[in-house]
Amino acid sequence: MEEKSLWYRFKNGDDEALSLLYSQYVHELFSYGLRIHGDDQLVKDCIQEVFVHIIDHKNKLIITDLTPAYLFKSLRNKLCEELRTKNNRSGIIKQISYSEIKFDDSMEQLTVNSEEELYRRRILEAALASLSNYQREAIFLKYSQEFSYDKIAEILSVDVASARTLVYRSLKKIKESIFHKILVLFCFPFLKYK
Amino acid sequence: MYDFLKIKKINIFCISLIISYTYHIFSSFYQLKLISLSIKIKVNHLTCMKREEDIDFISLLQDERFIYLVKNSFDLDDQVSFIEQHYSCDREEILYAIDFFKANLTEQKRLSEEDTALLFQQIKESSETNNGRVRKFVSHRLWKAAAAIVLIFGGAITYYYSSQKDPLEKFAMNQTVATDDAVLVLSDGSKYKLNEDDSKIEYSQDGGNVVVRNKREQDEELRNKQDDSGPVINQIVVPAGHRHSISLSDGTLVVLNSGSKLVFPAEFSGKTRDVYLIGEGYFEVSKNANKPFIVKTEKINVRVLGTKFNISAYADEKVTSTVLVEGSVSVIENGKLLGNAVRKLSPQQGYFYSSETSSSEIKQVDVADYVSWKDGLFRFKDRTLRDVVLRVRKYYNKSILIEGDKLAGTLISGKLVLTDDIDVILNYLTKTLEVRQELQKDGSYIIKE
Repeated sequence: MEEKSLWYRFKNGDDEALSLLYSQYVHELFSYGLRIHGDDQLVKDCIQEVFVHIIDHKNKLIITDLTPAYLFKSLRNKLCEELRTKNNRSGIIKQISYSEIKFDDSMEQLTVNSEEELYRRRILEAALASLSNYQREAIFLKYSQEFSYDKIAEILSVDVASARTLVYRSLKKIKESIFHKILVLFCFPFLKYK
Repeated sequence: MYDFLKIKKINIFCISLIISYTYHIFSSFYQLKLISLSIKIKVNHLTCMKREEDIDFISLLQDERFIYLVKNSFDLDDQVSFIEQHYSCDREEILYAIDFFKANLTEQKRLSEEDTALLFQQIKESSETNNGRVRKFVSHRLWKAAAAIVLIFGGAITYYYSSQKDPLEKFAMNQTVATDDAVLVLSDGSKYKLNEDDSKIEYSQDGGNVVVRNKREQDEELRNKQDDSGPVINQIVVPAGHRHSISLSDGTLVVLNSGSKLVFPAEFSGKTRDVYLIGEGYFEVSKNANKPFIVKTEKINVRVLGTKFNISAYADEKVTSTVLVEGSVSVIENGKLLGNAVRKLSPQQGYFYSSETSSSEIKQVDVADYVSWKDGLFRFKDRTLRDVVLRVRKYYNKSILIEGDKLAGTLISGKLVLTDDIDVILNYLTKTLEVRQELQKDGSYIIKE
C-alpha cells in the first residue's frame, strides 16, 4: 500500500518519491543486471535509461502491484537491446551470459563450517551450472530477489503458470543433478571435486 | 562423532557403489528402461528411508514456512532438526535445500555509495534536459581516470578541511568548563560567573563591550580584549538547572536551555554569521539577507536568513532536531559529500535526525511542545516517561531512575512548570501515572510501580 502511494507520488512529480524509489530498487536492479551481463558499466547505463524513461513517461505509467517488476523487465529489455546492437546479431537470448565467476564469489563468501558443507557447496555449484541461462535467471529472480511468481512472469514476459513451471523445472533439474552427482562421487570417491 | 559418520559413509558407499554401477550399466541400455526405473526407486528408498509424503528438495523450496524458517534462524543444526521434526524428509535433502537457499540469498551485489549518488544525479540531469538521447557515462577508462583524479583531489581537500577544523568547534572542544553556575568565557579565557538565572547578556555592535543585566537592574560591563590574532571568540556555558538568554552583536537573541554551550564570535566579521551549539537553544535571528546565520552542531548545520527556531543537539540524546517557528531554514546534514543533504523547512515543521539510524525525517509538529521550555514550561505530547525524565534530569541535575522498561516506555502528555521544586515535579508525574517515587540516600530518585 505504502509502496503504491510512493509510485503515485512519483507520478505526480514528487522528487522525494523518485529518490526513495530509486534507492529502494537501484541495488536490486544492479545485481540483476550484472547477472545478465557482467559489464557493470553497461548495466549502470541501462539502469539510467530505465529511470529516465519512466520519468519522461510517467504520465503513461500504470500503477499496479507489478509496477516494480516493470523496472526489472525494462532493464532486461534494455540490456538485451544493447547487447543485440553491440554484437549485431539476433538470437540474443543465447548471447546473454551469466557470469559464473560472480556466483563462485558468493559461494566463497559463505562461511563453510565443515568439510561436509564444502562438499555440498561444490555439488550445488555444479548443479546450478548445469541449468540453462533462462532457468538460472528464473532461479535468481525467485530465490535471490525473492519475487513472487506474477512478478517473475511480468519480467520474463510469460504467463504466471509458465513462470511457475519454469521455476519448478529448474529446481527439479538441480535436484536431479545433485543426487546424480552424489551417485557418481560415491562410485569414484577418489575423484573428489577439487 | 566423525568416526561414526565415516563408518556410516563407507557402508553407504559400498551399497550405493554396487547399486549405482548396476544402475549405470542398465540405464545406458534404453530398452531396459523398466529395470532402471525399479532400481531408481530402490535408490530413492535407500536415501529417503523416512519419506512418507512427497516432501523433498523441491517442495521444501516452494514452502513458505520453510523459507521463513531458514531466513530467520542462524544455527544450521537447529534448522535441520526442526525441519526434520516437522517435515518427514530426508536429512540430505534438507541440507541441500538450506544451502541452496542461503547461497542464493547472499548473492546480491550492491552498487557502491558513490556510484549510487552519481547515477541518480545523472538520471535527474538527463530527464530534466529531456533531449531525447540519454547522456551516457563517459567511456570506461576515461571514467576511471576521472574518478581517480576526483578521488585524489577530493581526498586532499577533505584532509585539508578536516585538519583545519572549524575554529568555533575547536574552541568548543578545547575549553571544557565544569561548573555549577552559568559562565561566560571571554576571548582571553577569563570567566565571568552569571549569578542569576535569566540574566541577559548583550553585546555591543563591534563586540568589544559586553553588558550583563540582571533582575536587580544592576548592570555590569565587561570588555573583550582585542588582539590581531584572529576573531574574538566567546562562549557561554549553561549547566543543568539553569537557562540563559543572550543577545549577540548582530541583535540575534538566543535562549539556552540547561546543559548547553554556545560558542560565538563577539563580532560577526565573516561572510556568514556562524555559531556552534551543544545542547538546546531557541534562536530569534535578526534579519540580514547578505549574511546568513549558521548554527553548527555535531550532526547538522542550520542555515537561516532571519527567523525563529529551536535546535536541540544534546550529546547524550540520540535525536538532533530543529523546529521552525517562523520564516524558513535549510538543514544541512554534516559529513555527507553527495546527495540531497540540504532540506528546507517551512513553519510548524520539525526536522529530526537520528544518529542511531543515520536517517532523518521532516514532520508537522506542534511548535509549542518544542519551544515552551524557554518560558519555563515543559510541554510534551505522547512522549515516553524515559524521554520526559531525561529532560527533567537535565533541568535539575539530579539522578532519576525508572524501574522497569514497561514503565519507562509509558506514553504521557502534559505540562510541567520548571521553576517548581523537583519534588513537586516528580509528584505530578508519579500521581498521573499512579506510581510512586523514592528518594535514595545519595540524593537520587527512583520511580517505581
